[in-house]
Amino acid sequence: MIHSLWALSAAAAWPLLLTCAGYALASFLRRGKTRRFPRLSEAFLLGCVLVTLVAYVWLACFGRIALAAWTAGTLLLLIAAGWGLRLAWCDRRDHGRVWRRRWRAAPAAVGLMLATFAAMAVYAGSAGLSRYDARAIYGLKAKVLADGGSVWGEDFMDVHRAHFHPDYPLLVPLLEAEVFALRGDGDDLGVLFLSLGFVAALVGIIVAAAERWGRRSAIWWGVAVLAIPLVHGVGEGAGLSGSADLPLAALLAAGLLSLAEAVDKRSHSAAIRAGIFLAGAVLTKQEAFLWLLGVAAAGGVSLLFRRGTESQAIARPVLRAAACSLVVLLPVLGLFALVHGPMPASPYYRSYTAALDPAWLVQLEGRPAHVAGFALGELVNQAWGYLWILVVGVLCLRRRQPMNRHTLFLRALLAVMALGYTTIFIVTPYQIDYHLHTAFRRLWLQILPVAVLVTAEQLWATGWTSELAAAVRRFQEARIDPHASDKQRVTGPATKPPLKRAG
Amino acid sequence: MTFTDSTATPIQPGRRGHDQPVVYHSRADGWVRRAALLLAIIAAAAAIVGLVFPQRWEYFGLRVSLRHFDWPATLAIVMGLVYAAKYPRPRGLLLRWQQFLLGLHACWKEWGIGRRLVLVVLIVHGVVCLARVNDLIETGARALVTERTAFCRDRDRQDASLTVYDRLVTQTRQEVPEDARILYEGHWESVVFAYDVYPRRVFLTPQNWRRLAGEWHCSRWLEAKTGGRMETSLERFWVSRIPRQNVPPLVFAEQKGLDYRVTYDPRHPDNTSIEPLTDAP
Repeated sequence: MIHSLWALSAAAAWPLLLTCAGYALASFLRRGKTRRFPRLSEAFLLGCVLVTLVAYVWLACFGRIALAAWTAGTLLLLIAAGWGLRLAWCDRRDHGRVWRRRWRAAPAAVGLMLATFAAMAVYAGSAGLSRYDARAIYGLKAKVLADGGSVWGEDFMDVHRAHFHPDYPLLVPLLEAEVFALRGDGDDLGVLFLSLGFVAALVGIIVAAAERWGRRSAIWWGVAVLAIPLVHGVGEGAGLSGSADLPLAALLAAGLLSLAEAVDKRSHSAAIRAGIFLAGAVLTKQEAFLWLLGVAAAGGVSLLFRRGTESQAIARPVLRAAACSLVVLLPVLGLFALVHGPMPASPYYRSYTAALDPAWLVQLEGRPAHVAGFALGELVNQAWGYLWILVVGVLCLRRRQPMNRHTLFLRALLAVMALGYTTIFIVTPYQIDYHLHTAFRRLWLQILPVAVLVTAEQLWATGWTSELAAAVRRFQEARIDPHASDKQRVTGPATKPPLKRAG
Repeated sequence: MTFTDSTATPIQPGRRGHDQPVVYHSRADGWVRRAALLLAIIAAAAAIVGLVFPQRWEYFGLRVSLRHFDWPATLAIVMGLVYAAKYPRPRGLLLRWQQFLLGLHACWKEWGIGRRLVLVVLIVHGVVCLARVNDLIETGARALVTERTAFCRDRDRQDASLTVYDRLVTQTRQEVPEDARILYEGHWESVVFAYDVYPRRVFLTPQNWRRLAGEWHCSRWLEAKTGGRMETSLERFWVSRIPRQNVPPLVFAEQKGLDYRVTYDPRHPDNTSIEPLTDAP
């Protein structure tokens, strides 16, 4: 009993330790002209990437992490966490002010958020890894690494070993491995607290990003993301499943947000932060490479749609931010190649590059219709609710604000990634039903943050949220006269703002 | 809120005097309120029964299935909100809720069809999401009280074959030493088995891998999802590219230094077995 309590506490404390350590790094990267206190979501993600990068350097040098190295790493992390805690204590007034402001702006939203997180914590504290990918891909790697297994040994190199996709990136397995190594009993109870941390980070990032379109609505957008069944759920690929899709989505969202800050404020530290987040994404899942191409393509497209002088004015900060991010990203790609390069490509998994063979492509005439039919079926279900119908509906409303460059970029990115993933499903070498049923939702979960931000911006630009807020404010003082005629029954205060008919 | 006719009863304002809005409720609102309260109580009771004693109940030939918490709890919450919307003497949060609904109602009247549709979809989406959050509460509560086993950790996966798998994992953990190397004969669960019995190392013969590589889509859950209608004519293109290496299991076991053979056959549980390959205990 005492042992399992200790094991559970260790697992629950691990995300907090990562957040504290990441806070120190985040504070360091927030120095300079954009000095402001770091967000906790950002700190958690930076902590995760920091630990993974150190572990990757170690693996690139020695191929394995022995128990002594795990222990030494944890001690170093404790020191960093102590430093981060001290910095966070110094910023406590700022954090307190932010949380008080949020509570006052939307107490119901904050309450709903806390209640959902409490339910998630109960599940994370009482269940281990139960889903297929979480165990076959990430959990097994974590156990091997925690046990001091070599990435160049039999576990990762022998194609006949029962190991699902041994060449997958190691961010999630390394973070889980630290829990296994610390506890030493091989039990996975409480490992899902790590997934809970990623869900919280994603929600925090969405709130931070949506704040530019209204403080109160930003909190509700956080609730909206958290309430999506695939975010808080425990099904295959969902937030609490132990898969890497939601961590990837969180890291990509943080990277994009930092990139936008780097361009807006001409901030080098924000660009470096973006580089770190995108590097973390690369170490989380292979799809991150596709995202890097997507970001470049969307950036190009959004520059093309601006007028000549505007394009020239924005091109320089964009290139500067991209260069700063690449300074971080390129060494990480080298590290990735060092660790994963020697792993052999198993002949028992089908290759996507081989799927570009014309002999295969000519056979796929029925695939686009199949994928489109499946996608239509996914518009409404228990995993998404009515989210995608909502996104499409909101995008059909008429805007009252012009699009700025961020909006253009986000929309271009959404379109590019949706197109990219659809193309993957069309050319996939795997049986199409198998691949659609096992991967479609997970890939769209990666797009979710961008889709939510596009929707939030569009709703703000159409005036939908502001009209609703104005009407609610108006009726805080409203009187209802029971003796008036129908048209005059509901009357507001004298300063009633006009509501325009639209849409 | 639609309040009012000449017979309506004026409801007194909230805490402090005339600054508070005066809200009138009609008699119909009273009936709606009572019905909502009744439904909320029934749904809440059904939710609690579904959480604590999940089973089908049969009374006088009438069968009632109370096995889940999610939708009954959602119905209880929604009816609670309807009750709050019609509450005659609103104060504090209730008053704010009614004021919010008045604002929403005003917007509804002003808005065009597009904005109204967005509002409707948002509300429906919110209700579905609420049900899923309640489902998470149910899953968490069950995980708290259920003994953790290898695979059957959720209520929807406890079928017979997985129970066989569970027994196999438990038996392997008990009978096979931790440093053993296992030759596994099975299907898509092999890679999960490798996790479940770690630190024992699990290997598959080339022919087993080949079969697996050609049949990732051959699983009962996918058959259930697609109704058995799967396009498999394109599979030949890839199956023909998988290396045709055939090594007898015992030869493979000797090459890899394997100590045990574990066989899993969900369709024929009697064929599921654990056997040592060497004379060593």
